[in-house]
Amino acid sequence: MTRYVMVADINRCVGCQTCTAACKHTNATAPGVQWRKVLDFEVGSYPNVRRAFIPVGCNHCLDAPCAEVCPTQATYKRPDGIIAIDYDRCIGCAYCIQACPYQARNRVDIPNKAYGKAFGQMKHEQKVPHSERRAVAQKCTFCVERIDYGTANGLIPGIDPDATPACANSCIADALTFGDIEDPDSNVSKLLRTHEYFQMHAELETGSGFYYLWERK
Amino acid sequence: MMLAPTLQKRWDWRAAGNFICGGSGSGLMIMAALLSLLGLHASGYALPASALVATGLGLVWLEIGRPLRSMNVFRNPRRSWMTREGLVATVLLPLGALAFLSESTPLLILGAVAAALFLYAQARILHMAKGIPAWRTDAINPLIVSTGLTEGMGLVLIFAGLVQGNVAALFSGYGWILALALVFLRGAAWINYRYSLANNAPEATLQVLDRAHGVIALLGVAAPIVLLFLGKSYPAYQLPLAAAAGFFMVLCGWFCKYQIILRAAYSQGYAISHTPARGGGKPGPGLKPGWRLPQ
Repeated sequence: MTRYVMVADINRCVGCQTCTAACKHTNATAPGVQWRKVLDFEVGSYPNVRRAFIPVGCNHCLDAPCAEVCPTQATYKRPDGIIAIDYDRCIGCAYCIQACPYQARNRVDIPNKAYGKAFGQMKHEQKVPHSERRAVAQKCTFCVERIDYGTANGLIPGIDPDATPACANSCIADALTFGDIEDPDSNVSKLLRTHEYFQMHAELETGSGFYYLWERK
Repeated sequence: MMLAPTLQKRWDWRAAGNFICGGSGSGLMIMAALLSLLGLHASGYALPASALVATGLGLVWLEIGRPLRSMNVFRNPRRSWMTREGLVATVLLPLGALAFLSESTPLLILGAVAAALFLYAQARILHMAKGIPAWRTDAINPLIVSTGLTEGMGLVLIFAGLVQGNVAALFSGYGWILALALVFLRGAAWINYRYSLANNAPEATLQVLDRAHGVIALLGVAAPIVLLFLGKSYPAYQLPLAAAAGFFMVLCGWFCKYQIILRAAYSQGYAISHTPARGGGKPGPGLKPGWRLPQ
């Protein structure tokens, strides 16, 4: 069995948003939509203030609430644990958006324009309109095309860049690590063995596939 | 970037309209069947009940992003309560029309069974929305079901005067006691709902519910109780008093759903259980912005 997950070392993340930019560049998401983003937490008050940069996105949950509620089965879990969306089947009811506790899903009804209506669509927007995503649910796919390409060509997701999500590839601090949690020798399994970690909203029992390392054991 | 829970905007008045119309319609069908067993002429309510349910579903159809694919909604009966709601509606709507046309009590009762399933499915739709704390609590189920039944009873009271003898029958038999019981039941379900969220919802959600509480207690509980007792005491004014009590029973249910679906529906927000160590320091405590108590 394979289950791909993302591990974020919050001691390493510097909040540069390179992963955000890499995701947008790779997936051509609409203006205002970020499948991968980095939150900026500030805890405490002066002089005892702490900051934390937390990368977020779809958690590709084990018991995904979005897939559970989807009336069309457009949202489904692949055998490798990735939660995928069949855009041609989705009716855009937005029930999955309400079911996701990670605010990872969007629906864009009108094709956005980066510089507003007055300037029309940019050339790059015209080239990648992604009309299949219009008025239906969309979210982080873990760059599933790259993973499928990689596994079909003998590459290892999380190790070989051509088989790894763009956000993990681009991270300047090596804070984001992608891999197969079911493989005890994988990069993510090793990290989880050697670090203390938490999952966001663990109390909701979604079986999140996004792990945050906060201290070395 | 917003870390605290934000108000969901994706389900607007059209989605709320489905819960409002669908709840009232299914409640009306159930109450009509119950009252017909108590001897009232109630099969006439079956058509407006079906029409209300159909209106609610029509509103949802207007909201979905790809309405031409709407038949795909029936693809997940194994797991999705939205699919189940749609499937039950395909039985409920024709049964309501048939019960109206044939004035058949057995058909009305069958319609009420479908309506009960429809109402329960509506409650579970909200319950399964894990991203909205105001919806996912277990206490949403009795609230949505009880308010649907109360709204249905309210509609019966409003239109009771249209059928000769129904108003008098409501007050001489068990009808008015049933109405009172439903008002109490919904009041209890509302208190239970608020209690379930007391330390388990975003601050903004709790503020909305706090503001709504006075209106619901006054117009949804106190007003109908007073009016129903007055109706029992003054037979000459039973018709307007029953209609007024029914009006408040319906109004409060719609107000309650509007508040829960549109105003109190804040998302989960983001949270961390630890902050990272910086330099040679130690990791620090976590944070859950927008929540009254750390969870």
